[in-house]
Amino acid sequence: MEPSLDVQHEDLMARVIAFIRSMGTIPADAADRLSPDTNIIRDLRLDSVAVMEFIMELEIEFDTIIPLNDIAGIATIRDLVKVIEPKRAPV
Amino acid sequence: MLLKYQHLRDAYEHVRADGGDPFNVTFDSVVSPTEARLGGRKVMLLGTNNYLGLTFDPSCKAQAAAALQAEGTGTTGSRVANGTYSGHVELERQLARFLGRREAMVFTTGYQANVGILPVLAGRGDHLLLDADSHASIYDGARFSEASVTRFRHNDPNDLKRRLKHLAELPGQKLVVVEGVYSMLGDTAPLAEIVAIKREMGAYLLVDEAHSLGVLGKNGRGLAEQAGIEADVDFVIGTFSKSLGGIGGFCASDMADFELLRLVSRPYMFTASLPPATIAGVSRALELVAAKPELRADLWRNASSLYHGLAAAGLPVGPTVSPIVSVQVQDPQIAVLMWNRLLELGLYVNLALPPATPSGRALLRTSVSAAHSIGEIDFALDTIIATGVEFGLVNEARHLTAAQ
Repeated sequence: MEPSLDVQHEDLMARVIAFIRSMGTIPADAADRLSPDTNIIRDLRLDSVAVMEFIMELEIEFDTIIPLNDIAGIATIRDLVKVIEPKRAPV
Repeated sequence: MLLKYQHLRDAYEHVRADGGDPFNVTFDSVVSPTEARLGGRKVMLLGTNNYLGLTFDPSCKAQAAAALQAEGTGTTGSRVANGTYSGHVELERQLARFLGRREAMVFTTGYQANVGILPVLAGRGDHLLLDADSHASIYDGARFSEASVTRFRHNDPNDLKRRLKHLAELPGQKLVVVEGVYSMLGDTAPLAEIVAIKREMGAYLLVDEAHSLGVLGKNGRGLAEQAGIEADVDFVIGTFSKSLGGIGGFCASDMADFELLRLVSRPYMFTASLPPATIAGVSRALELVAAKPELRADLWRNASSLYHGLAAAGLPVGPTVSPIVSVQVQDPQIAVLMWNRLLELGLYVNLALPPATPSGRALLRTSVSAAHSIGEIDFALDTIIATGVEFGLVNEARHLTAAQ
């Protein structure tokens, strides 16, 4: 049986957080406190170019594409996971 | 109003604290393709993208001067109003013939060529795929476009293919954008592999030959000519401000109805056209690209000497021999100090600092010209290596061994 969508979502959130923690480019204090509410630019202290690299690493790790047009709408790790996860079928 | 830029002031002052201002160099005069006066002193130019040295070619200057005398200083109007003279149309035909294309469209700058073409090729519902190290004009063109934009890892055909696979089921055209030679490290795009993917996945391909026109290929048509895949390039972008020694840009294509883009490209329509003198000088320069292959031979002799000389001394240069030879410096502060020292010693190069550089490294970027003499290249080598030794980038013993 397939795990429920909520379980899949939580699992993806955990994998994204683990991957960000493993990147090595994130300040150690920020890496210790990652949560769905972590603000990517402010809390991870990324400049505009570093954000683009950050997104590219996630795209490759999670085998997806995140159009540049969508990046402006991504503030937190929760927003990021929403963009990465496969679209839920309409209920 | 400008408070939002306060952080830049601190960084800028930091860079300027070591002497010169790398972002506001003002030459007293430029006296040849390879020499200028700066602060009352002679400096050798090794960072001007003047690949063929044509800015001072007597025939280019004469043709430009004649057009200036005959047709005045400017056109005072857009191409779609009063700014199209016979010279503009003839240059477009000449470019199309040179590149073996049906049609070419001239823009007032190279920047405008990308900003003017990308949004009209890829619109709402389409997909732009940009190499991550693309020039700012490509990124800005993508921002003007209503297409969905994705960047693939620099020179990585597998990442490009992966992205095209994700887009395969989606409606809309896919346009892949790469450059012939990348401006920071001088590396070239793996065009044969990109073309194979483009064909397989049904995408279009645009190649910006800004740094490769007149530089690569037997006839100087750029990387696509050198790679033997010109028929697979749907759109060629180029500039007049590098190998052709003027200013302006173009897009050329075989596509039917290409001329309709003149009616929809706002950066083409809403800017004044190039002045007659520029058109005339560029037209002559394009003739010389075809007529004088020895210019390319001289350029590559110089590029090879500089690249191999710096590499042999142990300086970290780019991945391949190219007219763009960049020394990578880990510490931006050291790069600023080295840039100042080179200028003191009479050598002008470009300083490129993160975030405008690949992988966040600082670069002392040089560009070689066909007009540099062997003696000038030797001077540049000695000066850069001595500065590398002084600032600890080069192990002195290794340098001496290499010199022997």
